[in-house]
Amino acid sequence: MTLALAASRADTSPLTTGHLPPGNLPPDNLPTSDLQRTTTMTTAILNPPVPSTPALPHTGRSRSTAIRAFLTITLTEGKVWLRDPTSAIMALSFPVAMMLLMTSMVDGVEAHHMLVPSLAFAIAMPTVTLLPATFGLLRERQILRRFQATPMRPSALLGAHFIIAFTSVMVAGGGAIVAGDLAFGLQTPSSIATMVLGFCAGLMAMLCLGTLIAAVVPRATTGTGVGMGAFFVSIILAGAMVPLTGVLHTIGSHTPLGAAAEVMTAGMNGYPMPVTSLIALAVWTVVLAPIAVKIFRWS
Amino acid sequence: MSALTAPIHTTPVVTVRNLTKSYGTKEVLRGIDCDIYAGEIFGILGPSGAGKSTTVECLAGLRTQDSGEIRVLGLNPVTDGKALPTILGIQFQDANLPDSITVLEVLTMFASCYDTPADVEYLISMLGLEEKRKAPFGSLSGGQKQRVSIALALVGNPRVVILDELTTGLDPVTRRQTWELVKNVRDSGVTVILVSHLMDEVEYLADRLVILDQGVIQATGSPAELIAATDGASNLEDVFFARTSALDHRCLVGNAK
Repeated sequence: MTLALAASRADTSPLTTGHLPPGNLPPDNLPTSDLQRTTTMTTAILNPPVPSTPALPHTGRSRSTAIRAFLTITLTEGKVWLRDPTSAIMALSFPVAMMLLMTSMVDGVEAHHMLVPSLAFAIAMPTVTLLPATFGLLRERQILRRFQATPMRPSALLGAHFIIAFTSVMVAGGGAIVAGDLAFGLQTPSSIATMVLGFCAGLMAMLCLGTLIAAVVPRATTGTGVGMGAFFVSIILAGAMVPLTGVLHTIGSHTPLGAAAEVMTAGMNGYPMPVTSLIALAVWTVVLAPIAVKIFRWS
Repeated sequence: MSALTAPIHTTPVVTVRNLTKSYGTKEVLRGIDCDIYAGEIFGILGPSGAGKSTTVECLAGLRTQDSGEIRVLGLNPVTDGKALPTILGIQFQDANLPDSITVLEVLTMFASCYDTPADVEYLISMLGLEEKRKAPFGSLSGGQKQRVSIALALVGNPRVVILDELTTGLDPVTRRQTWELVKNVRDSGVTVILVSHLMDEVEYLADRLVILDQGVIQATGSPAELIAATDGASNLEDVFFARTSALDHRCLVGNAK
């Protein structure tokens, strides 16, 4: 009976049921475990309440709530992202335009020459420019502060935008490949597996770099500025605009995007797997992701 | 500090003892003590810079105090940060959301963060937003945005809710409608902490209040008690100027003009 009473109190919260009681309710200070409920109710019956702050043990939220929250946030933020035409157009159309324009306008350039640069652009745009700008805006408008006042952890929000950026990169990269193939008959890479490995590992490393910037930028303009800086440095060091040689090439092949370009180029042309570039990608990913979560600022 | 009130409620849901907080060398809170009881609207009134927002941010665990103790339904905001949001909701002073998100989307998204959230459709109905449930946030009026903000504070089904400068910038009609909403929230069993610098708002809504000035509580009691206990006061505004340094500042400004 005691437990039934406790359960009924929990289930009849006015905001949950939509029923407004006529007057004020006493505080719902009942603990959550059965044993504690029984003890508390018995104590409450035998001893009248004394003026002291009641204990109300809560444990945050359940795993199923965390999963539901993550999915809902990802879906909602994804819809909001798609409603911003600038973000969507920049992320999704730029690599396709690059593939089509450069191949058709520059003498001697064929579609397979433009595949790795297009994929590098597809990776870089959503990860290090749009992700930091988005979080800068969320922080500037105090939307992150609202989230801070919920049981949600920063990793859930970062993860949601991680997935949005991941999806947009996949769509943009796929679009560049399809456009190149339909327009010019794209040459099949020598090793598709190596290409996919380089693309995915590069995407993860660049997502972690973007997330690191997103974790701290205070405003949208700062996020855009820092992100664009990271974007151009990454693109240049990856050799996606101008081929690099010597020391710059060595440095570039160890940056997140440069290492990814190195692996994808090997896959495209049938070169030996650049192991040091793969290791560099793994190190960037493993190091940057926890730092981003650790230094994340709500406001 | 005046000990004017013998509270009609017996169970404090929030206790604050000797709360201090400084930003650099500036002491913002200098020993705040108060109890907030179940089912009341508790006002925190004070001029700008009095420490009102800092106090509630410490209550909500968004800032850590330098010293002193806080308990919200037995939880310590510093050490129980994960559990606190399940019992305490907060409406922020600067309400803002992405322009393109709809009322229903944002409430559903925030509701998903809680184990036992409020009924979103009921909240929308309670706050008079039925016709705007699919409207983008950017298309709402100031009053409607404030209602969404209140809904977000309530969506976790909290026992205690903090409303910070709730009606600042709203027109008189919308302010009055918002006040009635706050009373409805209180009547639904939620303890309301109302932070404001608007005297008429606190006088109309608060069951009890503290007047905070320069980081110190200058008076505690119900509006009627405070008015009765202050010589020559006919309303809360008179009490406020009698007990704070705000009038001095205003006179200085007036003289300068």
